[in-house]
Amino acid sequence: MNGNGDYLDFRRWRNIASYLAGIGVEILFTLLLAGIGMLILAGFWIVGG
Amino acid sequence: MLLRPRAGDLKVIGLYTGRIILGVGLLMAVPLATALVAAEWGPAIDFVIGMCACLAFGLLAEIGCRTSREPTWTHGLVVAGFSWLAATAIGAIPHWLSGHYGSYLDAMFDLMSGYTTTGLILIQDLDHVSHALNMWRHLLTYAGGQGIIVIALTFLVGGASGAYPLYVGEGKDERLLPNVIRTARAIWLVSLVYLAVGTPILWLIAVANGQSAARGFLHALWIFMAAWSTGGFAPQSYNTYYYHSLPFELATVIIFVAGSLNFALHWAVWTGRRGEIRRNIETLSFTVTIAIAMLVTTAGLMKLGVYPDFLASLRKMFYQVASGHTTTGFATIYSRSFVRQWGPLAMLGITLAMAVGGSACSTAGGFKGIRMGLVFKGLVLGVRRALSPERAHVVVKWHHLRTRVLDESTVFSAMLVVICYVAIYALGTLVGVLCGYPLTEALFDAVSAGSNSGLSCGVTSPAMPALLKAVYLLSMWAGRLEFMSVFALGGYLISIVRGR
Repeated sequence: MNGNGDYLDFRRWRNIASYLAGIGVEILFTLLLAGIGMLILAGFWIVGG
Repeated sequence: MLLRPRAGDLKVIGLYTGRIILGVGLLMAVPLATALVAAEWGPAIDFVIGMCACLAFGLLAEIGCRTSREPTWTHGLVVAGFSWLAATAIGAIPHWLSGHYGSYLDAMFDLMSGYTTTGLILIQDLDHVSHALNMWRHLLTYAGGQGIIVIALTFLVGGASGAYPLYVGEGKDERLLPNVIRTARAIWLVSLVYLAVGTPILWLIAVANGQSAARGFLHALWIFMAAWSTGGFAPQSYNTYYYHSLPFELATVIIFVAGSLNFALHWAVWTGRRGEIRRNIETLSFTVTIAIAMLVTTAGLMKLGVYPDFLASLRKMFYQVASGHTTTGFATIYSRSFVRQWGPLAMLGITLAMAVGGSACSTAGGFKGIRMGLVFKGLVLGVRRALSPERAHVVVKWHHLRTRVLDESTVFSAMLVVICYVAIYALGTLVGVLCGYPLTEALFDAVSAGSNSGLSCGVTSPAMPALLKAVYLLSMWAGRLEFMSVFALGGYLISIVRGR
């Protein structure tokens, strides 16, 4: 539980910047997963010739 | 001894169910407006009829079940279980009237699939569906992803004191903020900000790919709603394969992975605790299980030499695995390609991904990352205890928003829900095999229905037996509500009949 109720106000620029930074972090997480997939596949390609 | 519910209990259940159905009726204003703008008069009439049915149900409940009592825990669970069934039965009216369904059961199946963000479909001639019906199909996945009770809490249910049981009954048990109404609003804020960012990006890609501005906007909006809610519906029968676009695939992957994350995690990251994403037990568990699913799927694809080059392999493998693991159900291959091209090992990888699913308190289904993490930590605890001296006090910690010490009851609760999921996967598979489908195919679609994923290898179709449709429908419902509300509703019905 947190008390960040003030963040509910989407009319504040500070909040919007914080939301967008959060989305940026979540995009990086997806790219990390794709990177893991690429490494796994690369491993198979190298081993399989 | 079972206690028979009193009239006052039934009134509370009726009143809150009625308000939720009223909310469903009000939501139909959006497809109705779409029909009027697009001059689709037939669908407009369908939605007017649907709205009238919902409003009539809601008003009758409001008049007939008037009570000042607040819902208790039991009421909340029963309302959650019952309202999803009632919303499916009444909300299917415009679907059925559209003429795109072979039976009312098929229409209800698609409604439940939408609410539960599953994405399995029985609709016929999808490529020629009206804009209004497409808007309704995608809107209800978007609404269902957040939770139809969350909508009611945001707009309709005024008092906060009785709201928490309803919220928990819908399978969400985390408060983003101390007040449950503000929690519901925070969930909607996260979803609407993503909508405001994601739709224009998809629109630009659609227009760059050659779609007209108006058509591109509608497709972008609908695909966003289906991706964010991990629903998997699409306006075309080829699903996202229709777009043949790498940027479109990348954008949808980002949206549906974000949609599968816990709303409490979103809120923590969005309010400044950025490091939470790398410490949280759910994201760690998700990373490990998706890596295992990708490993198995890639082994299957490489064994059969399905794709000739590295990029094609990565693009197809990652999209399908991520779609399955987040329980979205978008596919960039044909349904039957799972069977005819990918083979049983790659199908097993996708099945594992779907079974595990996304995060708790998100739009995703399946076991959920937090439970997988807790079960694994429970195993670690057991092994460490076995290897330690008898008097040693072994402590295993886990982190979800704050660091906690693992205890047996937490592991037991997680295990119990996982067992319930395995049971509905097994039931769906068994009925599928009894209906004559091969085991791998029956397992694939049964797990897809129970985990609210929506990928299909071809079993789910209008031609499948009505019994299997009913089993999948109930699996979607039980899986989405995470069983407690379903058991509570069952227990309540028994107590009405046999209680004293």
